[in-house]
Formats: sequence, C-alpha cells, structure tokens
Amino acid sequence: MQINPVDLSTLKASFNDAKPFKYLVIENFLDNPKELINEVKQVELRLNDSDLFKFFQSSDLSRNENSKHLQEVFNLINFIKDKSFLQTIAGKKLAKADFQITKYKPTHYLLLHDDQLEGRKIAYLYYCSSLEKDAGGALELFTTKDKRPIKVSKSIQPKANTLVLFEVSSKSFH
Amino acid sequence: MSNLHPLYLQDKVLEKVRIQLKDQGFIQLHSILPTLEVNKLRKLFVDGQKKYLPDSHSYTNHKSGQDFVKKLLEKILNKKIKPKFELRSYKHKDYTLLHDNKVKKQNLFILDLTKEWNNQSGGEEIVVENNDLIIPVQENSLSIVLDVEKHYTKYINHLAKEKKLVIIGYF
Repeated sequence: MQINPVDLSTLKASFNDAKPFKYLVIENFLDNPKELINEVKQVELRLNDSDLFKFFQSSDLSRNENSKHLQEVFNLINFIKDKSFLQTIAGKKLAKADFQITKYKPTHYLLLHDDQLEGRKIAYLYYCSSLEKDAGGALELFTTKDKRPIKVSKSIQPKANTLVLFEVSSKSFH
Repeated sequence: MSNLHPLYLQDKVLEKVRIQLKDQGFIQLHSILPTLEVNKLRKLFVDGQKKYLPDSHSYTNHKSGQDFVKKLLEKILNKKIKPKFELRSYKHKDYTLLHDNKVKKQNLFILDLTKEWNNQSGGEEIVVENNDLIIPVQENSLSIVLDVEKHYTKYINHLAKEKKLVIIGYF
C-alpha cells in the first residue's frame, strides 16, 4: 500500500483557506486500499447508543501497534501523523494519533459535536466505503455565530479511499 | 370529565394507577382518550414554529393553551397541580440532546397523540437514570415519570413516515 502522490503545498493552502473552518478532503488517497479494508472488516465492534450517536465502534486501537492484523491500518495512521505530511499541511506537531473503526448501518447517526477534547488538535477520517447522496451519512460542517453552530455550510459525502482532516477548535462543529 | 377514556373514570383503576406511580415512579397509560378526542387534539398540530438549535434540539412547537391537560392530570393524580407544557411535533431528523447544565428534578408527563408510528423510527423518550428508562412512542397514551432530572428524544430516522405528536410538560 502506497500513498498516491500529493502536492503538499497545494494541500496546505487548501486546508488553511477552507471555510467554515480549516479542513481538507483528499480523494483517491491510497493506491491500493484493498488489504486495509480487509483488515478493518475483521475488527471487533460493539454497538454504542446515546442521545448523540448510534453506531458500531471499536475501542481505541492506537495501542495495538504490534498487531499482525492491523499492519496496513497502522501504515496509514503512521503516514498521516508523520511530520512530513500532517505537520506540513496543518502546522501541528502530533505526539500520538488515536483511532477507532466506526460502522454505520441504516438508521444509525452521529449528531452535532465539536470533537474538542483536551490536547486534541486534528480530527481525521478515512472512508472505507461510499454512500449515495440520498442515503444520508454526509459529514456536515457548520458555521458558527457567537460560538454556537448555526447552519450547514459544507457537506462531504462519504467516498471510499478518501481522507478528511479538520482542525479541532471551538468552531469545529460537525 | 368527558374527555378521558371511561376506563380511567373508575375509582378502582385510578387507585391502582396512583399506587403504581408512587411505587415505581413511572406509568404509561394506554388508550387514555376516546378516539374522537384524539382526532380533535391532532388538529392542534397544524401550524407550528420550527425550534432548531443544532447543538440542543430540533422539533416543531405548536400553540398550546389546553386547559383540559391540567384537568386530566389532576383527575388521575387526585391532587391540584400547575403543569407547564408545550405541543411538539417531531419528524425525520428531529431530536433533543442532553445538557450538562444542572437542573432540578421535575415530574414529567407525555400525552402521546402520534398516529401509526414505526417502532424502528427512533423518537423514544429516554429518561436518564442508573438504568435508562425508555418511553416508547405509543399512540393515545399518557406517560408520567416522577423526579426526572434529564431526558432526551432519540433521533428520528428515515423510517418515520408520520410525525410524532406530543403534549409534553412538567408538574
């Protein structure tokens, strides 16, 4: 598995200029994601259900670095958090990167939140599957006014082999 | 009072209701109103005002002023109360979220006037306790829960073909 060639300076400019807050979408990210997707499908998930969400999710897998079953996944994560990639694009130095596998079935949802946790700088998603527009499931980015989310300003439809990054802040409602 | 199902006009039944509510802190009474009364009340949900704060709630509010709600609750509870309530409708993509704010405990009631609800659509009212209490959408029912601190309405998914119609409030 390799990362398809990207122009980091173009991505950096795109990230910094994005509205309603800094984000970036890179389609066709990996040259051959097949093995990675096979690994993802093997991960044990459990149903999480609350006022804010309903979906199947794994535990935080970032501590499983030596797992033989997640080698391609860790190759991806290590590439994303590497300073030559993320630090160049977002200007953020990262000590570590948590990650989970999430699976949405029909009727599942994740409602609006800002992802703010202590020390969290960047949120990232790698889509393993695609959805048609009328199926829902889009990542929606909200504009804010007086620190409160107002309306959807950008909608990103899940598309397989796409990486999405965004800066986590008091404005990053999605 | 005429607009309560005859079953709930029987003193023996009401006594059982009060005992269960006192013992368990929750009751859901089915077929609470005669069909004609339910149909009449559903007409109040025609005009509404969308209430949308994305990080808090999404539903439609309708004009209230239903004095009969107070009488109905007082008949069932056998005591004078001052309920505060609103008429709400929920459709696909509506919800309410929990908040971190400290709120005092109140007695919650939901008069559910929904018609033909698909139980896979979401929309349940969840009262947050040690073991969450799930109040399903139930046509022509009255649910009463004592000492409620936090509750929310589950996200309503695309399977909902009708609106959830409720008179919801506290006493």
